[in-house]
Amino acid sequence: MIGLTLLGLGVATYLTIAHYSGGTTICPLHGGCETVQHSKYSQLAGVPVALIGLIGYILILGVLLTPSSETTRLIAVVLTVGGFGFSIYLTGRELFSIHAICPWCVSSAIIMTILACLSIWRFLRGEDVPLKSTSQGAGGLDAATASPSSAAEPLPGA
Amino acid sequence: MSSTPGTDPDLTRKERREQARAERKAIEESQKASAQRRRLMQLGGVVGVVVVIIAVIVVATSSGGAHKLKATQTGSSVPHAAEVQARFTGIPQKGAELGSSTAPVTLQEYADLQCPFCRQYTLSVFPSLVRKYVREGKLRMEFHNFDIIGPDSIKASKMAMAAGQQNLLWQYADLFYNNQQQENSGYVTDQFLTQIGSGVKGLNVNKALTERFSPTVEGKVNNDNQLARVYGSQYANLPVPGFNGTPSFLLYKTGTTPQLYSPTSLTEPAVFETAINKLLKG
Repeated sequence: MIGLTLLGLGVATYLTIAHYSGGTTICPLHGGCETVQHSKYSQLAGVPVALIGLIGYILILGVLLTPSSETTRLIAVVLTVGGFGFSIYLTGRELFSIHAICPWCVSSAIIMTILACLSIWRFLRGEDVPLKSTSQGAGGLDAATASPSSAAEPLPGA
Repeated sequence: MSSTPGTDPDLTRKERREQARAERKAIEESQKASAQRRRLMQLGGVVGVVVVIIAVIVVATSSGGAHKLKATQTGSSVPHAAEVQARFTGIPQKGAELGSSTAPVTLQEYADLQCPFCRQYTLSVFPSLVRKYVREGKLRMEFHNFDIIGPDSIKASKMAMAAGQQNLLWQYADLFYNNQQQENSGYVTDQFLTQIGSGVKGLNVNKALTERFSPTVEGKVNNDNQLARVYGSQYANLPVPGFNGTPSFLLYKTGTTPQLYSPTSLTEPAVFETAINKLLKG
């Protein structure tokens, strides 16, 4: 997830720099980067959407680098699901309002979609795998929520 | 310490252990199910809030455009018609050129009439430049089409160029921007072009509607777009590479090689004024 976030961070950084420097964007696949970047939807309340994406990826990275807990996993879900929703909105604008597709934006949308799916899976699953594999006899129970007496339980026949 | 199966104390201990384990397991299962339910509810809440926020953004950005021109608004009732008329009164205009041909500084604008940023510049900066520099004979301007948004952009450009055949291009473009609607929404109809034309005092709208398809007008529109794209090519071996969108500008001393000008703001007249003043002093 951290690798994906760094990838998204790279895309958002590039688009933000391109926005503020006014430089030419390398547009792969003969896409309509220029049209998208100069449309009115490239800003939200005066803030470039590329910058919003950049801030979003930084926050996600920050949460992922924080020691995992129920709260941080929930925050990751909030951020990535929010990012996913925003990506859906922007892609919809590209398809139905601007009638041009920016491959950079699409790649960011794909990254955010994968991140949202992974975050939801991670959140619903509970504790991370390495922690779970060390708990004995919990039958897949969260180490965090397992009864403290579990560890003291004598083995059958002891 | 070994227990013999069948003795009462051993059976009791084993039973107690198993009972306790079963109870713990039941509690753990219950806690697990409860945690899962809580997580699903939190997830549902997050999704719900995101959906609401996105819906609000969609509504806000959809209704943020200019007011639609009503079918009944023609002539002087076209919004901003009088203001645009006043802006250009008394200023020489020929084709796509505005201002005195002997003005010491030239500003070329490459723009798309559908482009919201061009509209922003036209509404925020352009009036000030006309008042302070063009009207004073210090600056001349050239309008060039750079149609990047869609087919409707070219449609609009042709009509503006046709207005230029009657030396009224700048009024037409200005009034168009003032009544611009959501890009590529299909609003650039013949009726819309006619309504805008009717708001430009002195324009023979029917003549312009006919002339927009003439080889002269189509040739000018094509030339502008080709030139802008050549300027836009990063591989162009030209003195002014670097166009990357609309509006793009060339700012230079009249009679010298055009220089690319990339303003840091399209809404602050002072940014443009500083650059123009520098050329006027130099």
